[in-house]
This record gives sequence, structure tokens and C-alpha cells, in this order.
Amino acid sequence: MEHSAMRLLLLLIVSLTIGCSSTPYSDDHVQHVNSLDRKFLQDKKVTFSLSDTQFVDLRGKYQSNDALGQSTIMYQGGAGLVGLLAQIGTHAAIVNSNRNGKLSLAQEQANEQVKPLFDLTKEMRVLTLLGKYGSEMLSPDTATKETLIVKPIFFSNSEMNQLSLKLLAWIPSEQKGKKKTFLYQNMVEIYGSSLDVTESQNLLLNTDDMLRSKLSKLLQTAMYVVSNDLKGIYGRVDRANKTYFIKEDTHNKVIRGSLVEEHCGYYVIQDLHSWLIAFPAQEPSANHQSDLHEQC
Amino acid sequence: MRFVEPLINYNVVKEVPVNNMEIKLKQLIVISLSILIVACGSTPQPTIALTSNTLMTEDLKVGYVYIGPKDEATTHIFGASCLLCYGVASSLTSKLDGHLESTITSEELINIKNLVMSEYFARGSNISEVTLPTKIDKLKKFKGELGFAKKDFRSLKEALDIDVLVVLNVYRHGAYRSFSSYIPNGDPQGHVAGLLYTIDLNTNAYVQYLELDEKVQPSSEWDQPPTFPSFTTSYYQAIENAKAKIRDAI
Repeated sequence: MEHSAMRLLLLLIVSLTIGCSSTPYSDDHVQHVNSLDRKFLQDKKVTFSLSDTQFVDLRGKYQSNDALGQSTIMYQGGAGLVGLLAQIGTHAAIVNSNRNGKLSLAQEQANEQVKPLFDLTKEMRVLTLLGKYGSEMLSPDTATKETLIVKPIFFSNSEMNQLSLKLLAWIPSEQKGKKKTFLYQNMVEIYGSSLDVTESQNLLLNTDDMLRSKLSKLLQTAMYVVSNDLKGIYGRVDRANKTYFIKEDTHNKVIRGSLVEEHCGYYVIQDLHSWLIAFPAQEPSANHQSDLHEQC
Repeated sequence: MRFVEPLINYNVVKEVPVNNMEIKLKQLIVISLSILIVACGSTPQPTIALTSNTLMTEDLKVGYVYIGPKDEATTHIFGASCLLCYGVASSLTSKLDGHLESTITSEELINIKNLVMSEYFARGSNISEVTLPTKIDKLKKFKGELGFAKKDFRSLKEALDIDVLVVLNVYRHGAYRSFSSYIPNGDPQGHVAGLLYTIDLNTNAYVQYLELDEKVQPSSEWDQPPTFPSFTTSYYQAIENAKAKIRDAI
């Protein structure tokens, strides 16, 4: 009897804290889904459509550590079972709200650090960055059920010498239900090369529309990678996972996954999420820029 | 400056006869608590960097010992301060524990072990792996100031025929999750913790001392069983951060 009461109490507390146990929501990643037939789009042209915003979304890159320090809350012992659950619920809500607050503050501060670049992109339309993929872009009215909806989010580090892109892409399923389902959903992340001091200054001055050109290269690379994934070129064969490194500000960022393509100085890795991550194979020398579409 | 008269008149406090036994008991409690607090409040050993000319003496024999964690990779829970809190915390991370135990091997720790060896080789040290005749815990205590090991390693000089001993002790790896009673303070983080230290066996002084305590937050949703991709990546990031620290230290 005592055991089952204890178990019930444990279950109640676990269900109460389970909401607080999850990661706060952020809109810059999606879970991989692919239920497409292998022959889907095999001989057809991939068409794209932009989700919601038409303008460039550029954000500061930040460390997403939302963990808090110890919060000392004294539980009132004589409050009974309902009282205890109420107190735990309140404590969970406070912690959750503080975690969300910490994360949004970090994003705001990171955005503030890249304000000069943000100001340059305020009026920049995504359509102007598409290059050869512009002809494959459909408006939401003309999109078909096979059209891939894309949402590009650009990032800059605080030094404003390394740009990157996360391209969220999905094909909604026509299945009706309470929860939105997808035939295909994935994220492609593209890292640009680190800029040297002169390049970095030119980027801030936007010499020769340099920022547009850099963002365009990232976006076109992402479109190339996501098209390949959609056509099943990267396959889904089990390969051994390895650790790859991307040089960021002061450290090496780890990517765990397998190499699916080596193309024009870029490695394309399928990581543990099945996200596709492309980054320069090596640091480019002064007269060698390894951006994918410059040479290929 | 104005002096404020105390509000309490101490002269009016009456003397109360107190039982002798009661005083002794109170004294005992105070002494025990003091000992406990003094032990907790001792200054931790700060990092000691290996200087460029250390270990450069010709014919200096360097021994190296690696001590791995006692447990398999698992979630290390901190701050769940009551039995029921711990039960709740364990339930929240049980699936992650299963994943860690089945997929994370000691392979990366062995890579860290080999890294220490190769970094010492690169410095030109005559380093070789040794087996300790006794566990470090069983060595005699050494009363020294900061900068000296708490155990007396000097006896190992003759026993192992070495001048300097390098110890890498990795005592935790897997996940770290902090709680405030029942409530998690954040997501489980990729974690590796240990100590890397080098001792001069003539003096028992630390030549180098580095504490490793890497915690890396997953970059997106952590709770994605069965493969936990975000968490797994953060574990490998913690391992790489530890390696980078070791490279810097040696």
C-alpha cells in the first residue's frame, strides 16, 4: 500500500516536471522527416516557395546555454499532497520562465552585436539572393503539393567575420489531423569561410554589395544541397559516424556524422539529426575563396 | 560620525545556572561543525601551467598513469537533494541513461589518454606508461601547502624508477544535469570531468595541475529518443573541449 502510494506520488511529480524538462522552443531548427517515395521528383524539377517573410532574416549567433544556477525554494512541509504538488508546479513554472528569459536575452544581445549587418539587410529581399534558383521559385498561390517550402535564417558571429545560414525546408502532408504533418522536413546549415580583416571591413562597408553576394552564395549552396537531398542523391545508407570540426570564434565546433559529398572545397556532412551541414574543407588562402558557387 | 547607543542593556541579563553536561555537549557540537566547515572551506588547488623548461632535463624519466571512470557513461545528477527528488530526477533521464550505456564507450577517453602521451612526446619527454603498485587513495597523506599533492607520491620514485609522474584521472563522463530539488535547472549537458596533474617525485610538488570539467549544452531539443542526436553531439563537443584544454596545458 505504502509502495503504491509512493509510486503514485513519484508519477504525479514526474508528470508535473516533465514540461519543465524539455528544451525551450526555438524556431531555428526542425526535426528530420522523410516519407517521400524514392521516385518522388526523380525526373522532375524541384520547385521552391518562400515561407512567410520576404525579407532577409539575419540574427546574431549565440551560445544556447539556458541552464540556470541553483534556485533555493523552501517547500512548506505541512501543506499536504495537493500543497506539495502546487509548490512544485510553481517552482517549475518559475524555472521554465527564467530559462526562456535567459535564452531570449542572449539572442537580443547577440542581435545587438551584429546591428551594423542587420541594418544593411533590413530592406534586402530574399528573392534577390536566389541567383539561378530564382526561376524555380513559386509564389504561395502557384505552389503545388510537391513544392518545397523554405525558410532561410542567416547568422553572423559577434566579430562579424563569419556568416552562416540555416535553411529550414519542408513539404506539408495533405493528411488532415490536429497535428501538422510533413512528407519531408529537414534543415540545411551552410558555413561561410572566415573573413580576414580587410574582407571583414569591406563587408561592413558593403563594398561592391559584398554582403548580398556572401548571403547569396550561402543560400544558393543550401538550395543545391536540399535539392540533392530531396532527389535522394545522398541516400540513407548507414555509414560510420565521425567527428568533424568547424572553426568558430575561439573553438572548434563539433559535427558528428558522415560525409555525403565533397564538392568544390566544401564538405557536406549528414549529421546525427540527418541535417545536412556544409562547411569549407580547409581555411582558404588569401587568393582562394572556397565558396561553392565561385568555382563550380 | 555618530555613535548609536545599543538598544539592549546587557547588564539586565540574568545569569542562569547551566548544566555542566549540556555545556560540554554544545562544545562538542561546535567543534565537530567547525572541523566539518574547515574541511569544506579549504582553498582548492589552482591550475598550474607546465612551463616551457619544465621536464627538459636530460635523462628525466617520466611515468604516466591513466585512471578511467568507475562507472559507464551515465547521467550525473546534482542538486536533487532528497530521496524523492532523486527518484524524480532519475525518471526524467532514464531513457538517456539507456542510450549512454549502450552507445558511449570508453573509446574517446582512450583517445584523451593517448593525447596526453603524444603531447608529452612532442615536448621531448622520455615518457612511458607505468602501473602503480598501490592505489593513489592508499598512499600516505602529505601535509603540504597549496602546490603540493595531498598524497605522498615520493615513494613511487624508487618503486617505479621514475622522476616525475603524470596522472590523468577521468572520474565522470556522459551527461550532467543540475536540479533544484525536483526541478531541472536546464537540459542534460554533455559532460566529462577529471584531473590531469604532474608531480615531481623528489619534492611531491605539482609541476602541472589542470582540472577538467566540461559541460556542453545541446544546441537544440535534447529529448529525442532513441538516438538523442543533439545530446550525443554535445557529449563529443565536451570531449573535444577537454582535448583542447589538455593541448593548451601541455
